[in-house]
Amino acid sequence: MAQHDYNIGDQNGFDFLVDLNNALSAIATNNAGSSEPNTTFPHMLWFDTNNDLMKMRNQANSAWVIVAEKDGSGWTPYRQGTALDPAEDSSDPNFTNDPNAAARRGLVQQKLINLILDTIPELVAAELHASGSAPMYACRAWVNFNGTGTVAIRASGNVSSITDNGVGDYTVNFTTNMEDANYCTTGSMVRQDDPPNRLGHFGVANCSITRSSVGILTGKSNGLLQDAPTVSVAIFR
Amino acid sequence: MDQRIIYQNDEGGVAVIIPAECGLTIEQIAAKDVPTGKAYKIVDVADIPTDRQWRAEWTVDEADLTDGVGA
Repeated sequence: MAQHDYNIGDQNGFDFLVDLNNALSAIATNNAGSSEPNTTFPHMLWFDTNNDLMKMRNQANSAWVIVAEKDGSGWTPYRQGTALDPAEDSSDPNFTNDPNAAARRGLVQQKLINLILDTIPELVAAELHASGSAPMYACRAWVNFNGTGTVAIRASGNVSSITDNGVGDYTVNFTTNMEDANYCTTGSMVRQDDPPNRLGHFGVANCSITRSSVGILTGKSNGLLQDAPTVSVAIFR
Repeated sequence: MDQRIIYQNDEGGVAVIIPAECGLTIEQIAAKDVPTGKAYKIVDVADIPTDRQWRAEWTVDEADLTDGVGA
């Protein structure tokens, strides 16, 4: 702790050295002392050891302004003469009077983003009525089409077209490719012929699985290919 | 869409592409979904037979496939 008038007078070598070291000590300690320095300058710092307050001289050099208070856990910043407690400062929610408003808004925004990111999985699970903690994997493409008569798509997602290759033989083409060919193809078909309630076959054509399309076969239970009035295909990855 | 894209498959038969409402034009779908190097033609849906009893016997003259080639 030291204070100095910051005026090095004309003096002998030893006294000059002592005077200079006292000035440097005053600078290093922010002019700490129990009373204010005798000589003051605009924007000069003074640590008031009696009250544990860091003060700064105003620009007119006419008064001291408290900038922070030292306590057991560190420093509490002051704003316009009042200690600032960010956790309890609800009087200025938009920080309009805060010189550090931009930084504090950024902090609040980041906390809000983190909160949203933490909440999104729960919201998605709730929206999908998915109970439990097992992970969910999305359907990446799907189509429902009529494979008889005038072959036509009823509805689809991420499917650009289907190709009618022949009786009971179709290709589903994706609008956006899969990341690889290791996806899961699921589906069903409704058999068209008599007698009713006979099982049909839904299958994936051999060597037809690529990133951009998958081949689908529909047929009778005896293995012969047959067109189906309703074919549903879903791709999971 | 009331249009279809046809091309000749490797066995000499006819493959028919049924476009989906996916935001792409039929020309874009043809360029994307017709196999690379295959010539194709865009036709009206009414030009495709609805009787599929002899589906395996459908043929198309390759000279008629003049609208483009699969990319």
